[in-house]
Amino acid sequence: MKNKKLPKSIDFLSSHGLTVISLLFLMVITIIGTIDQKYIGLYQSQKIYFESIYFNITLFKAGGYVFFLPLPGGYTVLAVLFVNLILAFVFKFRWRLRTFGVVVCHIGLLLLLIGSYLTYAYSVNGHMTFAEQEKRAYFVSYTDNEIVLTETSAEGEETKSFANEYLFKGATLLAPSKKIHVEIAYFFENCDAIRNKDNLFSNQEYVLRKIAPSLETEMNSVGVYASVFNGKNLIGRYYMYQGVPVDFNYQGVHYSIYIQRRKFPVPFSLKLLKFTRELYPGTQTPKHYESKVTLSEKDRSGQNSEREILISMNRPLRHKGYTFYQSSFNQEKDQAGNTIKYYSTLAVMKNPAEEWPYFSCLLVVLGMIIHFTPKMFRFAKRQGKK
Amino acid sequence: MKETKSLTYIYFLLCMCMIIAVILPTQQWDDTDRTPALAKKGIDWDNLKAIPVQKEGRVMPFDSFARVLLTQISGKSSVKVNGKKISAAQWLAETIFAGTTEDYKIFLIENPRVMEAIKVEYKADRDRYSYKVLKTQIDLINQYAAQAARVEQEKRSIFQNQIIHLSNNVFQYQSLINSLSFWKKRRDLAGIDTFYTTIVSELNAVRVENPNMSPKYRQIIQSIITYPYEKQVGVSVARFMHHLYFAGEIFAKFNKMKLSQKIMDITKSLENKNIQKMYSESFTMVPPPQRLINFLETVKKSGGEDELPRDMEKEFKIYISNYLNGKVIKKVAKHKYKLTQQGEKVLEDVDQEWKAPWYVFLSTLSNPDDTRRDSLSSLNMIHYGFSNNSISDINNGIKGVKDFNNKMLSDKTTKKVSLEVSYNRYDLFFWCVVLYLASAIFCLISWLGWAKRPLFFVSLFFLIVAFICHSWGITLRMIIKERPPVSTLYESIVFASWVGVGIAMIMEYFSRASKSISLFTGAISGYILMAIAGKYAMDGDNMAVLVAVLDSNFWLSTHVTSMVIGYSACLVAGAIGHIYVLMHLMPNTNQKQAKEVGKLVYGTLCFGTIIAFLGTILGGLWADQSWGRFWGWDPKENGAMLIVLWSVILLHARLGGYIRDWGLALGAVFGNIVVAAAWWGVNLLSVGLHNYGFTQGLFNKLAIFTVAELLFIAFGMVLWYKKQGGKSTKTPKAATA
Repeated sequence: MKNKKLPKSIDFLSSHGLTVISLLFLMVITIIGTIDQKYIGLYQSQKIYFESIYFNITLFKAGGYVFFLPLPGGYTVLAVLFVNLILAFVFKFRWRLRTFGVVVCHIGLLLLLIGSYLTYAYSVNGHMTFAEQEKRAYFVSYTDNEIVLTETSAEGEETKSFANEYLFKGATLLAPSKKIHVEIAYFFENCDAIRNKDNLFSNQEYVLRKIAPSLETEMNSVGVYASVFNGKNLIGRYYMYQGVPVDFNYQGVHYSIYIQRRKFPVPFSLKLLKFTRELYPGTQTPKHYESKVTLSEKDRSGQNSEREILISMNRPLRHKGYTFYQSSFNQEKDQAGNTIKYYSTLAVMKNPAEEWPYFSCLLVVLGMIIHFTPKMFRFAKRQGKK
Repeated sequence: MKETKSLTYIYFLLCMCMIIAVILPTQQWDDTDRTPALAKKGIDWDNLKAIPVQKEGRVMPFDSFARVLLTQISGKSSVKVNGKKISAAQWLAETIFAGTTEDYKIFLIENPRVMEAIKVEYKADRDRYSYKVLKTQIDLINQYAAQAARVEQEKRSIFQNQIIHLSNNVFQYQSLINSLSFWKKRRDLAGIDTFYTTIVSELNAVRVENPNMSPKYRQIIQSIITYPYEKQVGVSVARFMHHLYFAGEIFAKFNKMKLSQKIMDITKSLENKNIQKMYSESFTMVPPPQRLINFLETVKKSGGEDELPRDMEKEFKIYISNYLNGKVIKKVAKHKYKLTQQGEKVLEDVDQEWKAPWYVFLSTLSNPDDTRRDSLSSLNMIHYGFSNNSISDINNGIKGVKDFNNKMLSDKTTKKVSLEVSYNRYDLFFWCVVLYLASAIFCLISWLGWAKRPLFFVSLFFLIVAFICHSWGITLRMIIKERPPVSTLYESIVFASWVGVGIAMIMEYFSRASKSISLFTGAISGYILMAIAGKYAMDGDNMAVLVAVLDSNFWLSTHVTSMVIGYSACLVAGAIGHIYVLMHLMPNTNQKQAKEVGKLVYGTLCFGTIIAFLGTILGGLWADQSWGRFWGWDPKENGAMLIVLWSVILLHARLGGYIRDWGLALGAVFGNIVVAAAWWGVNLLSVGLHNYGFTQGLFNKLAIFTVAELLFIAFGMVLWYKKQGGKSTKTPKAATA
């Protein structure tokens, strides 16, 4: 029962054929992206295959030429599916009682696609690691970095931070007072610091050495090699290793610059009271972890309010749009091997579309049940008659 | 006329199945419980198997404990000695209590390079060696293992993994032999002999100096003196240590502090030097007084304010009258009790963990009131029985140990242990394999056209019996583990098989037109999956405890269960897809029948899609709850999505008219590959968060499976092409062409 009045292009864009083709592409991408995780790690694989417009697959190399096959990335395929679905809604769906289930199911899918876009575009995540009795009001990204520049002069202190989009070779970072600017000469994805024997590239005690990035991006130590200028005058060239500030004075102003994993402030603070870990008797298999924390924040009247909360595996804390999950832990041991201090790591997530998958998936499943259940009964009934 | 004929058939067939059931290849399944115990007839093996012990974080019967150990060492749960099979429990009992298993060939080496390296005789690429043989090469084994251990776990070669495994197993075995080594004959202890003579003479002096000493001490001195040092050499470590200990006590009592101190020093150095070598903790079988702890904790919690639960009243009476003499609890009001200070102290001091006999032996040396000595004396009785061939001593000892453990443990634990014993004994899943296969065979024969009805009913009967066994087995596991049906890879296979058979039976009921095709599908997929599960059952403790992230019965029962149902439904669809293709080879297949089968493929696939999608989302929700993201492109998640994607592709392609019954059937066959990849294949990558389901060495099998299925699909396509060319009624287009 195809609508013959439709122009060919719209007919194709809303066709089952396009659905099948894009789903097949999605399957191929998923398979490649899954297998390649073994070689390039989850983060890279996500970036290359799933969060991309297209990617190339090397087929073979011959005579110095590389033959590759370009394939659409996750974005393209999902976008095509989205368009396909919307057009199908407008032009192809038959709005009858019989197809009610199908419609519900596909509305759910549409919401799922929108929700995942929102999550991708607007969510931030990271971790909060602290020892017992420590307090935190920020969390740290696993993969994003930032350069923080602080100026201290007689007038006071000013700080500016430059996030990921500035971290590439040739980027220029302008200080708040605009007196100086920093030019990035090299960005190290992963590096280690070694002693600077001959004062080769800078006057610092150490230089950075590039090392192969780890498959687990969060394990890398980033760094930059940067030149600091005043207008066109070179002030100095510096290596900056993750978390180690570079300090210098210029024209009576003290500057401090460092690169670090990006920190996101949280509008309240958590203090780790106690971390507990239980093992199954006689084994090293963990049975249960939990962190007891105090949440303190200013309420509307400006008063400080505090409450104690238990965060454990499968039982996160949700507060003001942030969610804290028990993720891992660390322990500091003394020489005899006794644990003297526990560090707890909470994974933190802020996702405006947090509830979307819940509703959309509910719709999809409901739709499928509405659609298929009567079919099944009809089938069974017909069989019974025979 | 017909009735009598069919009755004869049934009788004939029943005989045949019995024969088949016996002939069936059963090597991969352990059948130790069906072989009678050999060497020591008359030993109460049933009681021994039911003794609760602790291993890998849970309380299990001695039988399971023995199986776990033996499969870990030898890859099988029984030992062949002189051509006859010995059960794991018997092997373990002989190892621990008699130490007579040194020449049993149990150490499995699967790599010829390992054999070469440790210089043992090469017979086959995969062979088992006895401890007697390996004993001489221990230094070599440990040396290689230490080298291999320095390499990171993921980077180790097969050789390195094997040598580490072997070294661990040898260590494990040594420590098993040493479980009760304090009753072993003591070897000569250099440097103590002269001092021991001093001890004896000094004790004699004490006896003369104190004519009024208590009879208890007099007796001890007597017993020590009658064992002069030369005789002591033949005495067990345990008795020697006791003597030293009591001598020290007597010297301390009668103010000979120097001597007492020296004895203490010697005991310490003995513990440090000689005992450390013999000390073993691998056989943790002396329980904490769990019942008492539970009871005291309940009383403490109530604090004399709440009324104790009724069933606690009963426990209370037991403890007050028999065990604690009312000193630890006082009555506040009717049905209300409170812990006394002493009671609090008891609760604090009591050992809350399971202990090995060695530990109990050392800690009860100085504390004769410790009730755990009862357990030791029962163990001693078994030990004595084995070395003196006294069956009655062995049996009494076994009963003593079992009673002691049951007295210490709560009723819930002992009930679970005894359930596990019967789970092990009946080995229901083994019978499932046999019965599913029998059912499939009879169904196949029935298709040949001879005695159709009776054969069909025999097949159905077997399937139903197998399904009941299967259900009962799963239920038992659920009760024992207190978990939903699936929490490990092994269980996922067992459960998927169960679901598959269930789906097939429902279809058989509704879709009679398809003529026992669903029944056959159920039986054959039940058989194949359970046979695979049989391999996994050998993988150590298949009821092992769960890592923390999985510890959520809610998500286990929703996400994991629906995921497995989804896998299963897709596999069943694939199986029917096979049949759809194969039935076109049969001369007597008509179009109508084929259409019915095609509908079955479609229906199962729809069901599979819903459930797999539901499972995938629930997984996303769980991930959101515990890791903080709904979707993270983790391999296992991707695998689940692939299944959903593939079924959705098939459904839409069918809807768009691109494929019909043939395409759907072949697509469902391809779905089997997708399921296998999602279920096992992603584990090969060894990356991602779902790394609690990892297995190794699957690659070849998966590759063979994939190639075979692809060939089948190609074959199906050729067949379709031929059929279409012949008398094409498939598509309108083809009809006009």
